[in-house]
Amino acid sequence: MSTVSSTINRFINNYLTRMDTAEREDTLLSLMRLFERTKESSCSSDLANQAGIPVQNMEQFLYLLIESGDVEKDENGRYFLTNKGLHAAKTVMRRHHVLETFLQEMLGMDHEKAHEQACTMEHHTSDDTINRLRQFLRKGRDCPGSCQVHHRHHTCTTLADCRQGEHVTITAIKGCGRALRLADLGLIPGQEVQVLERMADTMLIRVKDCDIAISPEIARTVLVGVDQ
Amino acid sequence: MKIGLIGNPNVGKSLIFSHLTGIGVEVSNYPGTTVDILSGVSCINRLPVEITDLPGIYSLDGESDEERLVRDLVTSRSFDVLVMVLDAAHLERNLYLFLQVLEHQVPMIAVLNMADEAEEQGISINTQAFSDICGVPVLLTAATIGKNLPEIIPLALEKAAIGHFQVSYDRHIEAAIRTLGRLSGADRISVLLALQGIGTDVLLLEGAATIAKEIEEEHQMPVSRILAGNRHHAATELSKQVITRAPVKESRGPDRWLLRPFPGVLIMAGVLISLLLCVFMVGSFFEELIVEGFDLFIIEPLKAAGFDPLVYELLFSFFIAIQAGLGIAFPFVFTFYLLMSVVEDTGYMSRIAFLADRIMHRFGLHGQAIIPMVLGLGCNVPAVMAIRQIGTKRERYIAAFLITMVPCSARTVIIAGIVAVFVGIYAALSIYLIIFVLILLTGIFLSRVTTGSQLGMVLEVPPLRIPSPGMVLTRAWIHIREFLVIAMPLLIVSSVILGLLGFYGILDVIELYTAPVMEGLLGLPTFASTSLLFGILRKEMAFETLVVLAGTANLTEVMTTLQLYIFALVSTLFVPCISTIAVLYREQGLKTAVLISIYTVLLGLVAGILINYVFRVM
Repeated sequence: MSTVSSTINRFINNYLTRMDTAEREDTLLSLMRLFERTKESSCSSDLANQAGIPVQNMEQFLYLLIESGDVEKDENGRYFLTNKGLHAAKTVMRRHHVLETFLQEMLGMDHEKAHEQACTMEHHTSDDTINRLRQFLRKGRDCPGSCQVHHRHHTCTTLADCRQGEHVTITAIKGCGRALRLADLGLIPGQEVQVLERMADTMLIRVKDCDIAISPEIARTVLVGVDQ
Repeated sequence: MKIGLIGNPNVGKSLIFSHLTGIGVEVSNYPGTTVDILSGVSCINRLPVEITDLPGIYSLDGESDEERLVRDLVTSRSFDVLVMVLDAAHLERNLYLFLQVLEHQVPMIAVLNMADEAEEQGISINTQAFSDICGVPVLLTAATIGKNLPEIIPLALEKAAIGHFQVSYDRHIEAAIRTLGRLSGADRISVLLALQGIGTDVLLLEGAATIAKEIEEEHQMPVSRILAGNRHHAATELSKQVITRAPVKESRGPDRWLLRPFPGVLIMAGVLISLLLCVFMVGSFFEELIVEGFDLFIIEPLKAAGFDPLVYELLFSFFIAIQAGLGIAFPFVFTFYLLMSVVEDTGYMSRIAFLADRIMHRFGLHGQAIIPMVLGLGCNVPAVMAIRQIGTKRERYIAAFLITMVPCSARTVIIAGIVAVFVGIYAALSIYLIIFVLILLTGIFLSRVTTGSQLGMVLEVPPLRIPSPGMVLTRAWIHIREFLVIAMPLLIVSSVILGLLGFYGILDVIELYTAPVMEGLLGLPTFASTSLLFGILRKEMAFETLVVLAGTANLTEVMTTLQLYIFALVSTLFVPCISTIAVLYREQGLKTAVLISIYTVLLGLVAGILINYVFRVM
């Protein structure tokens, strides 16, 4: 009888405290982000909020992370990342960045979807793949901006982000859909553009003295730099 | 002697064309496309000169129907001389196409039109310098005030020359031109086209594809985009050499109001509503004249002539179809397109597209799709044909559905003639409301379920201009021609068939079998099914047949207001007319045409049944 119950107990313990790669890395990321925001060690309930999981699970995860030496607990019962943990979190962050950039820039996904996808892919992509992707992206073009993981920043400014009246210069055009028509109308890298009107996200721009109306999905494929 | 007019859209090409040719213009569809080509003959020194107005394009390398057609005509040397029309006020952008045309090594002249507009903007162009650099004669014109227009043809006949200006491309492209030129003996332009996968020479294309792939890898950019960039830079350089700009105060004129969400959207609604009201008032006045005249001079004598009953039935159906066609074609459709052409020629249409882009995105369409939808208010036939202009297969599919639901002028006649007269003006407006809500729902539904990609809109918004009467007439004629050519023959054939069906008593059988639906579910008299059937022929005939079958023009004597309301709603939604089905079949294929027909029948019946039950219960 007792052997049976202890087996069950062990099973439950194992089951409850099991942590897969995704959960481990997400917990590390939560710790890092919370620390960046508050500049102090975090309590488990804040962390659970940040990650969107029950406090109970978070505490179990943290326990396991302390065991593996990624996290330490200070005298106030608050948690902080060790150097090892910080390094691991930064690696995940970098993977996310590369994946999101690739999905958004090269495959033309919109920011939100790219972000969502990158959030799941970041845990299962090997470092070799990430390095190769990074090389590929670099060869393609140099992106002026930088994406801060989990912050609502676009990797690059596109025409769709421009305000009314703004003067910008085209830096690159993504994809190949209607790119040729854009090129025929004078939208080529290096060309100055003025945003005349915005109707929701539909843009009216002036290129070479001519006014052109552009749908949002096309405006999002035109990367621009703001004129000084 | 053949002369082709080539140029960007909105540069006044068509106006120059109509000045040069006068009357006797021939509109032709090019085989395999719906691109309209206008040609006319002008006599210079007793020699006939055939002038063709090519469709306005932005590039000779593109893949749209127009671009491909013009490219084919230019490369096959179909014209002895090309007259390139450029907008002097927007010269830099126009030079892009000009440089492409130069590369084709055809004798040409350059006409810098809109000189008056350029002058207003403080732009002056050194035509001598321009001519020296490019090697072709240059003429400054202003088509709207007729300046220098008579000189175009003589200049083209006497001085046209092959230009010597060459765009210097990226070194890899230039190397490819040399290599491929040596290998296959092809000239510069053939190689440039082949690098973009255009041409017929298989060997050259194969070689070009290999080189193009390498260039693309090197530049991380397709060849077409490299070429476009080089040409634009050359155009910028060239324009710097020939243009001097005097500083003028920049003003955007009425666009400041027209293109703002407020009051732009209100103005747009106002324009469209007043346009429809105007069409309806003018249309009903002339319709009465035409129909009465027809009755008096043809139908009445026919009735009195005492033919054999079968012959009489055939003749009667034939003439009634012509009467119906003319009665709707000229008063409503032609008036509509006349006004629409004014809207198009002022350049307001592209502003509507801009304003509507956001809402159209909810239907999985984009701003440009509003143009056929608005055209559909006149007649669905040309509207369905105009779908070709918009983007992808998915967009065309959705647009086809929605356009066939747009109440055309014939359906407006039903709504106005039955509901507005016998039930009330608000009831009539409520039918419009129901239809537009159904269009909205259909659009949202279709955009969810239809697969395929969506491309956005890239549309030039030309400056606002005062339209010229001649151009407006020509444009309206092109639209109405589609109606007459496609709709009229079908109308006549189906009218005769229906006449025969009635003659042999088959219609009574149909009435008998549809009675349960008509009486039981819709609460309509049995003869309504016959008039609905006639409505397939031409929507407005549902109304006329109803009057004939009811035996009185005062419909309230035989039907309740609810019945009238339901009848109008059902016949408005119920199946597009036969001409629309035919043009759907031609443009979108059998499957789409059948699907749309079934969908609209069901929609009409369900809407009618629902209204019937709701009001009966209440």
